[in-house]
Parts: sequence; structure tokens; C-alpha cells
Amino acid sequence: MKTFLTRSTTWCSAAWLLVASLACESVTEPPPPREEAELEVVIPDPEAPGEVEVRAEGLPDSVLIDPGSWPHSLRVFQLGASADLPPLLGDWNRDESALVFEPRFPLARGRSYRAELRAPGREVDRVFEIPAEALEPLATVRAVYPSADALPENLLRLYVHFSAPMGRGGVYEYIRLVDLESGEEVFDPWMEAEELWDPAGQRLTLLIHPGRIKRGLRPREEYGPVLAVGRAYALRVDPAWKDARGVSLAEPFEKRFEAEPADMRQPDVESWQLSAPVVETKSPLKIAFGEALDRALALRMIWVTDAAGEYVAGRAELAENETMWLFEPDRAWRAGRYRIHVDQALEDVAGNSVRALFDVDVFEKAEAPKVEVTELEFELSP
Amino acid sequence: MIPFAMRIAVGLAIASCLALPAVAQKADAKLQEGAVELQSIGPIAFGPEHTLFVSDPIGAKLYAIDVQGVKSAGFEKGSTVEDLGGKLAARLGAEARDVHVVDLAVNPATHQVILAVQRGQGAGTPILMSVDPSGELSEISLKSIGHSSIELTNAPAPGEQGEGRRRSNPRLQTFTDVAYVDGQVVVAGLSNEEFASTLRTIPYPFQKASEGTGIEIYHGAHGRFETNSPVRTFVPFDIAGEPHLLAAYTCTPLVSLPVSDLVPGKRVRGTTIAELGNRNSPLDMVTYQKGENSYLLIANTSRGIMKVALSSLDRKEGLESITSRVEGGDTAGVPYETIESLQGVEQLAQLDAQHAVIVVRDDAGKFSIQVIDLP
Repeated sequence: MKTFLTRSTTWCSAAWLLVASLACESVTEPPPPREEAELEVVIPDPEAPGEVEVRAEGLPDSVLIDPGSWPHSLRVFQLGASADLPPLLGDWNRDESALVFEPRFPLARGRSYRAELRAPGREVDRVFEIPAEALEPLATVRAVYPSADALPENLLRLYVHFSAPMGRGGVYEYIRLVDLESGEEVFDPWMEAEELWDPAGQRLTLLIHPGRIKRGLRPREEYGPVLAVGRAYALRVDPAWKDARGVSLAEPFEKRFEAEPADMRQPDVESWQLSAPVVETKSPLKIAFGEALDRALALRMIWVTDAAGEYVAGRAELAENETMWLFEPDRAWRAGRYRIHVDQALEDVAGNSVRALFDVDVFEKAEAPKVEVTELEFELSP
Repeated sequence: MIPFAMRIAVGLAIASCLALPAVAQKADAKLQEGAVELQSIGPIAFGPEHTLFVSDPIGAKLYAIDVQGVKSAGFEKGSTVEDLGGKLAARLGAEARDVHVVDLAVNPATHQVILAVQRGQGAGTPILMSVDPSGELSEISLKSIGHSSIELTNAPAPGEQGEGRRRSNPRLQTFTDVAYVDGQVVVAGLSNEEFASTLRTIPYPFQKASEGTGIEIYHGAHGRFETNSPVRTFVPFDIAGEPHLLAAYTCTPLVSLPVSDLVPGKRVRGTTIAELGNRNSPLDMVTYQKGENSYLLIANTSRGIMKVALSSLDRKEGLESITSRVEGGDTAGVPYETIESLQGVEQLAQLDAQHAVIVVRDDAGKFSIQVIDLP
């Protein structure tokens, strides 16, 4: 549906429709001949009221035949703090006797704009508004990983999961790490240069500043580690944080935890405890790691193949505060040999990988053989 | 010694003087006219012949785009664009807080300034813009433009190759820096999952269908603890006549890496040349020559700009400067000073031999583009 309104400054509120009227208004003592010009704001799709066309009628032919003049003849400004800001980007087209401007991006709901027509003998200005939309807060912090309430003092990263896509930019304003004994915020705990979102905008990775974790670096020597053994902390999320729609979180969030001694050991695949599933069922294959592993990496870097080397499709999940991997196959297990593959890049919560410690003491380490994937085997009997 | 980036510029100038038509046609033939559909925008950098490299982290692609058609005027000493955030917001129809200048690049041949901008919340809309010294901001339309591209494999989950498993891949490689060095594009990345370094080198013109192999970059502390740590930002620089990268890690040390060592699949250990001893992360770096000496300027997340004297690096023995423990929090390695007058610098790019272009945020939170004398 295409809606045109002219000559009445009314909102067609029943259907979120348009909009503005834009009668003509001439300059004083215009050069002859005096012509009438009109501006219309058109909303082709009432479901998307920000996607407007601004149409100018009654322009002289000298303008209509000269595309180079269009950007100066018809402009739309976002009304804001300053009067001397430039007009919106967009495209101009001629539609018979009308010059049509389409903004490059949809106009924002609840905002006011000014359309401006300037041509010889014509000067029209009209202010219009895109109706606001009442949006309720929906987004919440769904989970924070690692989920345990005791975490090593050399913890490398936390994942904050949201129930809905979040806004990006300036996120560190809304996240506080508080030392619960002193009640004060921990000084500069995050590596803030990047915001590490997943593509959906629903998971933020908080990287504790590696210069505060790695031994022998100045940030750690000057400011100490971010977490100290035996102290209690709270990760607090401010509800003022806005989601992708620009609406605040529905509620604040807090995760409390205590710092344990540093984890200075690599994940040891050889020591993992396997619980084999029951053949002819979809019962889960379980692996107990003996320590918490990085949730995102454990979900991605452990997989199963059958005797033919075919990937076994199914669903992996972590349990017991990320110390256990559960794998439920899509089809029932059959008798035979299976192989569990573990990417060497798999890390625990302190960034120690199967391949190497987060920071290797080069005087103590032995050069490890370069293997990409470690494998474990198990066999199911009929 | 001439900094490496300047050497490229000199080379370009000579090439354009000779203006061999056959060479120009060959260069054009690499780029196909067509639409570039960015899913996101990351760091950008100029290469040869008005080629702009544009990274797309979500799309996991690197584009080479011909921006010779950009009409804006070049920047020069004294050029200033006030209230860049307000102007961008007005142009893009957004709130100032929803407009992010992701990167800034200067065309070395024309001194035109190009901005990589993200508009809006959520994943946002990527947009490439030119800015004129008058403050006019124009979109560089990507609907039909000469370009070529290469995929930067975004490490799919092994499980995703099967059926019925998780449908989305939450892993994302954020690109933190891109530069053209000696016939190849170097891309630094930071994953939202694993910590390991993922520096990649991609020969240009692009050849292979996919370029997924990273280089393992290690860095040591006090010659003792080493980490396979991501490089955040880097700049090309000649040391003793050999092309190197000066690279800053996420965890603050500044290292040098010989470009010839940057071979996919190889383990490379950066030589620590300075520990800048700050709590922030480096954002951008440029190198330049002043008188007899070479310097490196580093913009950090919140400190003033750092100026590092590089002349000692020209001797091989300068490279061994930090292999033992630095006591008492002293600054280690090559000397540096902090230029306190330059606060809030968020983008830094070289304009010419004497000037740099910066995007700087004032106390009120307003951004501007300024041209500064290289200190």
C-alpha cells in the first residue's frame, strides 16, 4: 500500500500511516513566474514507517532535467542539537513531474526531520515526525560462563549470554567487576580495545587483560593480577545497557564468585574419564575433564567419528560447571569402534590449551610435537 | 634509512611518472566491476594504485577496492573537521552514539581520507565514506565498483560439517589491523573464543580461493615466559635494510618480526624491543623520519600518544634489547616518551613525511579529524 497525504498536517495514527502535509509556501517577492511547489512525505509500506520517500512537485524544468542540481534542490535534515549539520545521504530520482528523494537508511522512529525544497522561485520547508514505537524491555542476561562460583585467579575470559541481540559500542560502561570485600571496582580488568561479539550479537566475550595475567609483564607488576586468591567478586551488569532495538535490559544481573589458586596445568586428555553410552540407545556419551574447560571451545573442538571415519551427528552440551561434556547422537549408537577428536587449541578457563600453557616457561618446557588433534577411542559391544 | 611505508610511496610516485600503459591495464584487469556486499566493516588500508583493502570480519573476507573515483579533496596541514560524530550521525540518520568510526585510511597518492563506519546497533550497517577537508561526508557506493576479494576462513566448527548440529557459528575473528607490505596484505585478528595468535599474510593480487592458515606468533617476557599471543596492531619498518613489522600485542610489548619469517604454518617469535608499560592496548602506529632519526608513534586506548625512538633498531644488536628481567618497573628497551598533549586519539594514520591525520575525542566526547605535525 502506498500512502500519499498532502495539504493536511495530520498523522494517520490508526494504521501508523503517514504523515505530513506539505503545502506550499513561497519566498517573499519571488522572481516571476511565481509557481506553487509542494513537498510530500510518502510511506510506501505502513509496516516500515521509517522508509519514506520525499516527493517534490512543481519544480521548474530547469531543475528536473538537471540531475546535478537535485542534491541541492531537495534535502532532508535530521533535527538535532546543531543547526549546521549536513543533510541525510540518499538517492534522487525523477518520477514524471516529481523529484523524489529516498534516504539511504530508514528514518528513526520518534525522530523529527525537516524536508527542504530550494529552487528558483520555490522555497518550502516542512517538519515531519516518524511515529515512535512503544518498546518494552525484553533482553536479559541469560547466563555467564564459566558458571562455577569459584574461578582460578588467572581466569582469561568470561562469556556473557543475552536473551536477545544487543547494541554494540561502549559496552564496558555497563560491566563492573567489584571486589566484594572492599566494595570497590577492580581497576581496568578488561582488554577493552575490541568488543568481542558473536555474529548474532547475543554473546559478549570479556577478555581479562592478558598483560595482567601473563607472568613477567609490566601491567601485572604495576597493578597486580585482576583476581586475587581467596577474595570474592561480583560481575555486575547495569540494566541501562541497551539492546539492538535501543531498549534497556529488563533487569540487572550479578554473578558472584571467589578466586581460587591459579590454574597452571594444561588440559590433560589422557586423564579424561569416559562414560560409554548404551548401544542401540541415544544415551549420552560423557567425558569428565577433571577441570572446567572453556565452554565455547569445548562445544566446538571435541567431536566423534565412527569406525568408517564418518562424523557422528548429534548435540553436545556441557554440564557440572563445564567440567563434563555430554554428547547425544541424532541416531542411536551402534556397536563398533568410535573415535573422539580433540583439537589441540582447546583451552581451559585460564587459556591453557591442550598444546601449551597460556604462558610457557621457556627454561622448563620441552618442545612438544606438533599435533593438531588428539584422539581417544572407545568401542561399543552389541 | 627510510621507513618502509614511505619507501612504498616513493615507489608509487616513480611508477606513476613512468605511467606505462601496459602496467596500468594489467593492474586494472585484476579488479572486476561489480557489487561489494559487506556484512560488516573492520580495518582498512591502502595498497598500490588507489587500491583500498577493506576487511569484513563477519563475512570473513578481505576486499581490494579501486577508489580512484573518489572525488573528495586531499587533506593537508591545517585541515580540520569538527564534530565528526555529529556530522556522521546527521548524514546517516542515526544517533551519534550509534555511529562508530571503525578505521581511517589516507590514500598516499592523493591524501584523501577514507573512513570505515558502522551505523546502528546490533550488527549495524557497514559503510565506506570519504571525507572532504570542508567536512562534507560522502558515501563510496559499492553497488558497482572495481574490486577483488579473498575469503579469510573463519574456522568453522568441525561439528558444523555434519548434520543436525548447531546451525550457527558463534566464533568470530575480529580483524584488528590490515596493512600492505611488500606485495602482500598482512591481517591481524583476534578471536572471540581461542586466544592464540592469528596473523595472516595474503599475497596481492589475490590468488588462492581461500587463505586460512595463520602464523603462530609467540612473544616472550623477560626472555622467560612466552605466549602464543595475538598481535593487535603493526606497522612496516626496515631494520638493517630488511622489511620488518613492528607489532604491538594485546598484552602491551612491542616486538619486531622479519617479514620474510611470516610464512603460513610457521612459528615465529617476535623480538621484544620495548615494553611500553601501560595498562592499555595500542590502537594504531605510524613510523616516520625526522632528521637523522626514525620514530614510531603509538596511539593507545586512553593514554597520550607514545613516541618511540627507533634508531637503535637499525643495528642488529639493538634487537636483543630485552631478554632479561626489567627491575623496579623501569621502562625497558628502546627509549620512548609520552606526548601528553595528544589525549583521546582514537585513529592515527600517516598523511605525508611530516604529518599525520588523527581522529581525536575531546573531553565532551565529541570527535574531530585533525592534521598534526609529526612530533
